[in-house]
Amino acid sequence: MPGLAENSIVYQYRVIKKLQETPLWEDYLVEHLFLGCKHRLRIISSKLTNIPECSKIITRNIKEFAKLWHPYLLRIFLCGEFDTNFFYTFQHFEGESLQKQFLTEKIKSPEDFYKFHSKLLDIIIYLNQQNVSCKDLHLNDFVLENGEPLLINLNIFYQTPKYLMTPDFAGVGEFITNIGGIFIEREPLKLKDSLLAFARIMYQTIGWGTLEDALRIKQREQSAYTKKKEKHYAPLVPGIHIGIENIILRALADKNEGGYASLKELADDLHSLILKQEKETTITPFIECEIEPQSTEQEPSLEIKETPEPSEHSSFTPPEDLHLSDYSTRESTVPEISIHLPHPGKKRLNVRKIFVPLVITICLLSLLYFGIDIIRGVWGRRNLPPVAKATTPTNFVPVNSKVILDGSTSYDPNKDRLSYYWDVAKGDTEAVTFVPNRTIDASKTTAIFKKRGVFTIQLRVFDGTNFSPPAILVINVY
Amino acid sequence: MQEQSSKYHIQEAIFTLKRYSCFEAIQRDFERPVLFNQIQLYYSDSPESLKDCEREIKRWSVLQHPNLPQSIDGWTEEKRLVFIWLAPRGVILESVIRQKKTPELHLAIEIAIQMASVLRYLHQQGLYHGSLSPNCFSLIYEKWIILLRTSLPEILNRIFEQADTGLRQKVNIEKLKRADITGWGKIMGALLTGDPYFEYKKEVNVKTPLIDAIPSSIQHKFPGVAEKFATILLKAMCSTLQPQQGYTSFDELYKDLVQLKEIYLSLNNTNS
Repeated sequence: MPGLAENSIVYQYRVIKKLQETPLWEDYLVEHLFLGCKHRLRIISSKLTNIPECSKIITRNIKEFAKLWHPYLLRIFLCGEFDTNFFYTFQHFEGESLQKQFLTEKIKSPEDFYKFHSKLLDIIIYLNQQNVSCKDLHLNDFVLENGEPLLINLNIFYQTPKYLMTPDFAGVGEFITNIGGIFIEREPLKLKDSLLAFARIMYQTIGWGTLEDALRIKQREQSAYTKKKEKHYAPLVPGIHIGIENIILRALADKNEGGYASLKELADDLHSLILKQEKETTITPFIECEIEPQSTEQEPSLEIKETPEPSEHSSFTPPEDLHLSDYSTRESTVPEISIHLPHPGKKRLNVRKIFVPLVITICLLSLLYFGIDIIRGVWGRRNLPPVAKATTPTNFVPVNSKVILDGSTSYDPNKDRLSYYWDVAKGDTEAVTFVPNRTIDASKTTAIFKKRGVFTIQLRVFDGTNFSPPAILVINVY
Repeated sequence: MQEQSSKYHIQEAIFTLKRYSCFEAIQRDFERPVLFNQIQLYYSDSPESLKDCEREIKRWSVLQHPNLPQSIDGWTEEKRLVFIWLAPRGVILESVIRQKKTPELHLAIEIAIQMASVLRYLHQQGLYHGSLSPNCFSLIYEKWIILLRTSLPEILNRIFEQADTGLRQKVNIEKLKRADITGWGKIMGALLTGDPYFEYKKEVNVKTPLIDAIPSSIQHKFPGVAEKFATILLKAMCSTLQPQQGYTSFDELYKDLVQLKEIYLSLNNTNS
């Protein structure tokens, strides 16, 4: 490696200082001579670039990364050669790793929690849309830069040729495969990778360690796991963790076992989870049902086991037979999550398959029984527009006084609930305030006139489908 | 410097302004689009004006904001100054407005926040635009806003004009600040209503068209949001004509927008 001295010049850059050094690459803080801004410059050792295959992989990956654009993704600027070494420059960042931020509880409010997760999910969705797999994404691949998350891990790679993994190329193959952040893969989209990445990040966020470790601990010793989990619940708002568990489980589960079918579904769950905060989450708990093997003469009996009602210290019990096929190896293919039969002869069913049709049947029957009148009422006549009527006790008011405007005699022929919209049709709109307005409660509103003049006030009512023609009032403010 | 120029392949002019030209180019190493900005130099240009010009470019190059193009390269040649900005290819906001592609309420709020955020950041750095219009912004992936056309071209032109004429133009910062707030309001109003000439007029009801631009079913689902959004836009739009009633800074405006987004999100959650 060339080992650049301070103030030496590389391309259009002046070296300020060395930031990081490994046997295979070095990072420098540099200043652009013309622009005056600070960038990071990474020089890749010729040990890597002298291997044609390796050089090809590195340049191709940097190109692929450079083509991506997202506000929370590190930006690559330039690349070139310097003393037979390949270099590239990218955005300089100084922030701390997001993992550190979460673990030191600098980010602990539900607002921050939501803010960060929705942003991290946004970038995962973007990478997914670009067909970029991100199965190895970790929380420490992000830093907090100017209050925003920034995905910084630049070690992107295609499949590493096997010969680079042999002892002759000690370290080289590892560099390309094991320091990975984003796996640029122009292969059929792998939703599972993105879901897994998000589940892992969520897991790390709440301080449970890595997802893989936690699940292994869980399998070994339930009590130790619960203890660890309870310790880290403390900084979080009660109620959130139950939803987190559900999101993680759904992200890991297969689609036909209640897993997410799209990242949007996950985003919606996350959204509703954080906003509900102290309330219980609305995400359906996992319900298992087992059919006990019976003798052929008897009808099979149905035993439904529902996961216990979530409480603040409820223990996290992923299905016992949830197998994660080696998450830890980065070369492994997408982890397969399979639900196996716990005992031979026992059959596990998803209760939704029984429950949902049952509910639909009950609803249809009720509708048939009670709803004939409703159906007649709704379908038998057209939705007519409402009628607005407005009155006021006086049309002459002094400036800055309050006047009650009454629209309560407005009506809807279909007897729908009405919302009342008061506006200034003519006159200075900023000089009039209506309290309340545009709600069901605004049938009687108080208008405050801050200026003298003649104001034409209009009331329109809304029945959920149609607006009424306006009712007009003229107020003279003196 | 020939070597540096060869790293970029110029494709088409985006806009030109006296000495300043902005082209779309392809950065050959990465095969990605960039903005190639060049300033024409003359032998008669004084060293002071060149220095001022370089200082301004440096001032813009250190800026970092998700909604601003990022400076990636630059150099001086005999007859021109060149600097490269990284900005992904998007759709100019003006064409979005002309096609009357009114964004959904949540997206409109998001765009409004991003635009306000970048302008707030620039104002905090003491940089004002003064002539914002929908063709200054680009919409990326139908979600992200980038301020493509900054005030830098005008600033650089002013430097050379001042050097040529010897007259120092006075810049009224307060006026520029207000103009940016009003400009923001007008752009958002145009985006919502699909009317490129939408603007604030005294004694005319501007609020109702803004509210009506949001479908009544959405208004019903999010009671009060359309009203508040329209009030914010109106308050921004009247910043120049009626300064007492308008916003005085992007900080105030941004705060109201964030509050609006929170209301929207909480209602969205209730509805779901």
